[in-house]
Amino acid sequence: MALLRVENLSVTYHSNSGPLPVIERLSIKMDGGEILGIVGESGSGKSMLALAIMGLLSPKMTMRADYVNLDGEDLMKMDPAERSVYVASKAAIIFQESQSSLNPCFTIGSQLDETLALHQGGSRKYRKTRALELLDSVGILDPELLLKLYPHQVSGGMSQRAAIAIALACKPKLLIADEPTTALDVTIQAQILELLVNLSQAEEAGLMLITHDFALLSENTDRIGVIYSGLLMEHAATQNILKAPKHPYTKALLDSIPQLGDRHKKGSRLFALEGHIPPMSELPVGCRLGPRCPKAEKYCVKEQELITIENHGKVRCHLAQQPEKNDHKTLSGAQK
Amino acid sequence: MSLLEVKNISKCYSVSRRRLGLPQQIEAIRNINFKLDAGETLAIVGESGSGKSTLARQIIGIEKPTSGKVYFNNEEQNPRSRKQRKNRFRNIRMVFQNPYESLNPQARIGETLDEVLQINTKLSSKQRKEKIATTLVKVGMLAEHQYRYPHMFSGGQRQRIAIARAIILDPQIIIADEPLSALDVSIQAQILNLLQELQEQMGISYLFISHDLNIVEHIADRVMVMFKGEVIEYGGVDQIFDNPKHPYTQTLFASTPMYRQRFPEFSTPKTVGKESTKSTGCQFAGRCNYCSQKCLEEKPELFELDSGHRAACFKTTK
Repeated sequence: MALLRVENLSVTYHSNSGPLPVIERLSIKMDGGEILGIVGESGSGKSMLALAIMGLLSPKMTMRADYVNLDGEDLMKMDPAERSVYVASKAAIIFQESQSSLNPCFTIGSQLDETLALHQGGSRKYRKTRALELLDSVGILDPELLLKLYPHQVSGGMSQRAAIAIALACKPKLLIADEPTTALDVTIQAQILELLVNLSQAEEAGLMLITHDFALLSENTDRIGVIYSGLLMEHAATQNILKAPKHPYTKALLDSIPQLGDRHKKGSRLFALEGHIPPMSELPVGCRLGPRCPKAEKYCVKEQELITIENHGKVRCHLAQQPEKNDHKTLSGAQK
Repeated sequence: MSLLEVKNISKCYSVSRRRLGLPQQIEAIRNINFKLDAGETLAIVGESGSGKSTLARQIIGIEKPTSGKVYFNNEEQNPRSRKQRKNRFRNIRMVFQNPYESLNPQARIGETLDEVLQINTKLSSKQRKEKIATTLVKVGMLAEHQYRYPHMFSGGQRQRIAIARAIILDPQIIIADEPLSALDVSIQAQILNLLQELQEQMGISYLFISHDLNIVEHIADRVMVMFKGEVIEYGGVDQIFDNPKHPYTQTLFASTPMYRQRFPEFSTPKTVGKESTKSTGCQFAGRCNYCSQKCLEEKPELFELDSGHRAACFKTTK
């Protein structure tokens, strides 16, 4: 029984000049205790996926799907009020900048208490013990003190821990982390990531890790989905993606990260994908990557379908079917 | 003979927060020394609040250092000398982190670039126009882009424009303050390639501020690791990346997934460390896994390990 099953999810943004596709026909599946990485550039729709699952899309956006099945219930069949209560009890989201996702007018304690009171209830004393317990579980040394502080009084790492504690308040089965470490220092980043992975393992909760940093995903995830321009481009086990990426876009993303031991040499250049991600209003005909793709052919003016490759996963590129020599340098994270 | 030399530079900021019991003077950087040669890239690595950007501001002359000296082209720089400061502004240029904020949204690209030329050169308007066009082409844009506004460009293109603004005066040094961290991975590679190309064509030296270790390994000749306003390790890229000595540098490597395999022996940092607020002792002591009593009492000096490789830690001097 899968924890989360999303089938053919489409999100549309209704702009003043007509509807624009944000996500199109996206299907994913997650089990409990599994860590799924979603990677893509800004503007690819990866955050919108998270918001769509949580039901937090702005009123200008609509979502359609065959079903969005979260822990056995189809969210699409619920009315909004019912849905928000159900989702809140099953899933939680952590945003990129905790400093701006926490309310600056209230102490961390009151924000944590608010969540607990709303979803779990219990006496004030019980809630306080629970709040201390939660802060303790995210590795805060002095939880008593933190309860009384305002978000601006603590460091970025601390407030991100507090945000995680709030997310964990309802014992979610699905934890979505949308760029949880981008705003943090490297050393803190490692700690937060370790914390998230440990928590999801301990609670057997699914963790969806949304990021643009392949290096982060290489160590922690079970599977990776690569999103470009609202379409799932490749979806496979982490090892497969890192060792033998099939989609030109995945390859390009991996190649644009400097390799280990690649020191300053005159004339050495990184592989760089030309151009930039197209705006939603100017999507190219056929394959979305077409104009930027180093391997684009005439065939690419046709829209590409996700095809299943044996022993790999799903790839949205007709080239993936052809056997080709693997000229890709592996990211060192995959070699263990 | 080096292009830029910084000797014992320190900067204090005054803060009046007496009520909270904090000191009134905050030392943002303390006794920093380094040299930068022509055509070389020196990377400055450190976490936020370590004083990387403060150091950049002292060098370029936006702020006056509290103590210490800056030598540019072997000439001691007097912070009061207007002439010297202008010369420095011309020859040391900056590229900032966020191209969404560093370009004036009300000015066309051409106007932004033209302003630099008007202030710093005596070119005629026709010559300036030519210079703007050639510079834009140099950074991979089109000459007609000068008639557009910043909002019409993507992040990567804006960073190219910011680089154009830096190179338009043919500077000797560019200080790039986290030039890639606001950009997507695929765009980062484009900008990194551009920076390298410009260095090879024009012989520019870079002071490259970054926290991304694999980018530093790719671009740097020498690396300076800063922690809480002090240099704690300094050396060639080979020395730092093959044989990091200071526990903080080792922590940085242990925290970066890609490097964890190269250095499996380094431990990841303690979960939440209490920051040391005392002025005595090693700044890193509170988070250090090897901290001893001596580290709490005495401050380790930068100690030469082998030629050019220096680290400030008692553990390495033994």
